[in-house]
Amino acid sequence: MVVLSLDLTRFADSQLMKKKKFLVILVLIQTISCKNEPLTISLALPHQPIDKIDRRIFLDLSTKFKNQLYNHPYNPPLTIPIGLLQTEIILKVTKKIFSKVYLEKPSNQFKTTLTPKLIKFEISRPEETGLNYYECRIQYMVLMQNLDDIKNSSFSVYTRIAKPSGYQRSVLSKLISSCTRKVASKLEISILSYYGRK
Amino acid sequence: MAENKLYVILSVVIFITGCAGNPNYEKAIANPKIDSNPIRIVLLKKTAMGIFNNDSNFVINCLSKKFNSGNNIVVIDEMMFRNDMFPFFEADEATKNIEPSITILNDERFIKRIKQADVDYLIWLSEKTDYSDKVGAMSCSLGLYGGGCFGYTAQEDETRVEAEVWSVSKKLVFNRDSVTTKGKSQLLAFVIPIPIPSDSQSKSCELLHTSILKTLLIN
Repeated sequence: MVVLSLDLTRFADSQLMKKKKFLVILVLIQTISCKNEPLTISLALPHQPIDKIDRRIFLDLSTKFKNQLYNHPYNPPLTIPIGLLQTEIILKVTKKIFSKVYLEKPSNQFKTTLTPKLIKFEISRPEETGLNYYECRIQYMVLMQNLDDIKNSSFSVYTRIAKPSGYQRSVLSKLISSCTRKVASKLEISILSYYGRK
Repeated sequence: MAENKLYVILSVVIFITGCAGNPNYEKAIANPKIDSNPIRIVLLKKTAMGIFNNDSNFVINCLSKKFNSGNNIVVIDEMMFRNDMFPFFEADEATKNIEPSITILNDERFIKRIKQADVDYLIWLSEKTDYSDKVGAMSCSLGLYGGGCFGYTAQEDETRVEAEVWSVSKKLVFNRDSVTTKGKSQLLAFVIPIPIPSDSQSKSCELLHTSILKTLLIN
């Protein structure tokens, strides 16, 4: 058993009280500034040189997909521009795989199309789940269309990070960065499995 | 008198050499056979399953140092390896962080990558430390004229480390090693607190190093 007792009675001295107040204000400023630390999400993906698939593809990104926001009533509230993240990720992956990626349909007859759809995006805190870690769950559905057939591929991603002793902002950055890396991984494998064998 | 001394020295020499065990084996562990191509391994932290939940990288760091200090084994950095294998070696499951299974060694695309990276063995590591209740008591006080701590506390712990060795060329799990060690961390305070950390993790690392080395040398 550890007993920790501090002799606070001597702090009654007025000079010391002033110093104590100053210290409290300093800690408060530090806390506020740390809590407002911006959410930095890394979208850096390992770039392995691969033989590109010699194919032109139309990436069908809806306005909703590109502008989607995730709001979570954190204290302070958390808003993640998920649309921006997923657009960047899918562009990176498709440009890595295909020789040419169109964002506008080149012609009505053009049939090699890839349409992603976000099904679920969920961030959970330890306070909400009773577990000892932060969790991220993402689910996507990707419609892959070729000249002669269509495939609907669906995948889920899960990441968890142990609860740190410090502020939650940095752990959220790490969690979302890790989750987006896994999305990129699964997306690349799905696309390669479908178009790579055609 | 001189004759007596000679007998004593001879007895000591015979005793030491007699207890040395298999000299060739000991030599092999200390100085593994030097091939023109070193054995290339990756030490991977197993994040899957809840039983091994230590966030510490102590055993991985300790084993990396030990393997790298020998001249026949090269340890490839885990993050570098995972980046090289991307997108084929990410933890994958909707509800848990499940690491890839041995069947990934049958995936042609993955094998192509791993051959480029020239990796011989993948070693999965997981560790867990359980702590018992603290015993003893300590009291600290702080005043205007100074302060200090007095007392003694101790806590026993048990570290369990598991290693699973995958052979890339043979596409199979070679060996599963498990090591359990006990230790005690202590805090002694006489004005200034003096912490004495537990050595259970370093003992685990030492035992596991020898065990993995045996596996790699035998195969």
